[in-house]
Amino acid sequence: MLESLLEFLIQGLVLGGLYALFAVGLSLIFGVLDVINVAHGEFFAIGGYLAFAAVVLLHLPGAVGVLGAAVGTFLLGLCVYPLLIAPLKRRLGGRPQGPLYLVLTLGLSTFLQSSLLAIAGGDYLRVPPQVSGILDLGVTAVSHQRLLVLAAAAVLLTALFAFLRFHPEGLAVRAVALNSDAAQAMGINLPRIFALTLALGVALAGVGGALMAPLFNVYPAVGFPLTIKAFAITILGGMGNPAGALVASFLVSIAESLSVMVIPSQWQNLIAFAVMIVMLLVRPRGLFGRAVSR
Amino acid sequence: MTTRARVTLAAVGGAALLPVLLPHPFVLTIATQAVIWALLAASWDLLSGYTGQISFGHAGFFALGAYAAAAATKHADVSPWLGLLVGATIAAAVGLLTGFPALRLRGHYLALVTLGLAEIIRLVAQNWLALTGGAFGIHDFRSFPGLPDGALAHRQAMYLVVVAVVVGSVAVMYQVCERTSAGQAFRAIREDEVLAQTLGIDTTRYKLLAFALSSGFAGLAGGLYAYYVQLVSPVVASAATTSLVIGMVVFGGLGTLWGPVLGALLLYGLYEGLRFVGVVYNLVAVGFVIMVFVIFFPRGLAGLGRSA
Amino acid sequence: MLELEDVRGGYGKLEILQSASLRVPDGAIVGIIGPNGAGKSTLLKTAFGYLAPWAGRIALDGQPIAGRRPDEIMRRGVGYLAQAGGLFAEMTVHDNLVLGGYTVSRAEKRRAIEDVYARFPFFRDRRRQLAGALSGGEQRLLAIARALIVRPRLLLLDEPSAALAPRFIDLIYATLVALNRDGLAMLIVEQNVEAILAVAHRVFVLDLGRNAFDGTPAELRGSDRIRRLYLGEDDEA
Repeated sequence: MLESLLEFLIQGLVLGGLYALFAVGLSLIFGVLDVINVAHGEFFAIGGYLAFAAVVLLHLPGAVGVLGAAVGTFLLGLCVYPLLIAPLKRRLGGRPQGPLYLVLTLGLSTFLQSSLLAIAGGDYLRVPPQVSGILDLGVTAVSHQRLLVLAAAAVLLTALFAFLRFHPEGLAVRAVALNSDAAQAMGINLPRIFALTLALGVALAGVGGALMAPLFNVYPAVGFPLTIKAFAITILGGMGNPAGALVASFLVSIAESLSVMVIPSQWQNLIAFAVMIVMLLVRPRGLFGRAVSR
Repeated sequence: MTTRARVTLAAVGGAALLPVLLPHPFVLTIATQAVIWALLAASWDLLSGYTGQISFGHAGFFALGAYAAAAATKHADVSPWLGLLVGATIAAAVGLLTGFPALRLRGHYLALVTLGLAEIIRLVAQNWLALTGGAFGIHDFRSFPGLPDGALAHRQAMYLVVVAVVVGSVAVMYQVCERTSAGQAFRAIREDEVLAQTLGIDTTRYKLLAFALSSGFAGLAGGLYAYYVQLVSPVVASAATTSLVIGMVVFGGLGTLWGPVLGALLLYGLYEGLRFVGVVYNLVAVGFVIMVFVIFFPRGLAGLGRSA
Repeated sequence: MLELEDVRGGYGKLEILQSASLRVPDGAIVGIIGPNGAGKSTLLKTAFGYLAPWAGRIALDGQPIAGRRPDEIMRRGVGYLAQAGGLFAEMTVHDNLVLGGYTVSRAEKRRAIEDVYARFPFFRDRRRQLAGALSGGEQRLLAIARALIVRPRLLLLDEPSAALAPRFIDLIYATLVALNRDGLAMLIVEQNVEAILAVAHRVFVLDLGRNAFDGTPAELRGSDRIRRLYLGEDDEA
């Protein structure tokens, strides 16, 4: 019994790394731009495709594939604010219309996913693992690839939080999230910070996509289930609170993993949504978020 | 109703007769489904366009109606005519229930809760084998009795049935939204809910009404879909369905009811037409349309040519 | 230094400013007073770029700045102090000051913050406290100190005395006068007419989005009409 518990705990921990890469970026984007990026999963998919292109088509080493995915999704992400969000903001003139931005990113999601389908076809593409081998922990075995995801999550997210905490630009990002008017009065260039934050957030997802490609395979809709789950996670942690999203990622992943002991595995995914709905009804600001006025 | 709306409806009415006058099986197929989508789009507009409660879970109500109707006919031998009613009622009931918690949520929180609900419905559809047949869904149930037998004649008759039901439904919705005090309440809630309350409008009652009507008609569309396609699978509850509906409404014009009908017919026609031509870009076009219209043409087709 | 000419503007479709004009000469303190809803804050926000003017001319040192972003205007030597909520309440006192120095070099920033701590030792003591935990007057002072880090030439202040205890009002205005003596120009929107009349070189009266009167404080006090309409019925000048 304890062995099972430990086994599921470890599996949950490893899964949490992936969720964290995804949800922290999503929460950061919401915190700074006030926009829920429905297209987040498509950047995950694009990361996978870039890794595929680098490793399978161009025969470059796996590490280059991951780097390429990061850079590629970052650059693509830089385009989203100026091309899509800024024009909508100009038209709305500063009136907060959350659902319209949701519709916009929903359109982007549809556009990107079906573009991937059109360009690359719907086949499940196979990408070789960046690292091979299995770590035997006694109670359970974890593939090195999964551990790589967890390690990458740990490194990247530590770097991100350090950036937000200590670097002047990171301070500026936090300032914009707290009070964008005051941030402007400090000389902070809002459009630049918005574009940068969005690019950073989706690049995290892109790296996740490249690292998970060997495990999930690569296909246009691979990111979408994660997106919806990430909504649930970020709401649990408090939308706009990246640290909360980090904690919530592991809470959800471990809960999902442990739940297999009591409910059939197909119902695992339900947990995240059930939690989200309960959260939204009982305490919309999540575990760690600020009070929601609306 | 504006002249523009009258003209559009006349044109649509004329186009609706086309498949009857020039029966081509492929045209009939596209036309029938397009009309079903028109009902779905109009029902979403009632809740999200008119009343401003933007829901991302419409696919869920569509699926509820489809599954309920199919299951009723298959397992309880309910006549499809009644099955439509069953589907609509069950969807409306769930919609009403959704309305209660939704009362307290605004903006993106409401959208996310409805999205979560639709996902739960999809997961249930996918995994509860006994009830829903799992990934294979429900099939092998009869369609509307009393229709002619020949392949083409059957399709034509089916098309007319669908058109009749949809036209009737949209007419009812239109009547409610434009000619009754409920419709006025819906719009007041959309514009400024706090103000509406201070003016004495029972926002709770009208929001619940909007949810029930919207989901009920979505369920009706689901029943029509079930009896037309003769197969209901978890795919109908997918976010892609919701995405397509939202695209149609944004394209046609939020909050006009006839705009979404037009938007659905055109967008679905475009979508299927492109697919027929062999283009894989059909859904790309939909995504593109959503983005461009949300940014530049917020009033959709209904607002083109009219100053803001 | 700052010139607004025939400015029209507002929020969304709501027109607040119909035709507002004023001038802030180099090194002067200029006040804006007027009834509620006259558009005083709106005018300040429009001057700083939070709102784009619909018509009219706004120039800084002769250069047109209408339609520029607030951060662009800030970099030309203009500081803005909001009426409320100008600080980052969930950040520490120190971090607020660091953000004040966002546009200057690290060395300059460190030196300037040290200056602030030297002048206001109680900020040094509280530097790890959240800015939102300070009292109203302390927050106002912190906002001013923060704005000074980049050595602006012009400060825009929106009701600096609002909701403050009298001794803090005196302290704030004494500070402002001292800063002005060093050459800092100011445009101050005020409801507290007495406070601004005591220090301003020139005062503009705004009513219903347009200019109603302007002159020196003495001229304002000298006019019975102005006294009755905008200064209250008090005859003790």
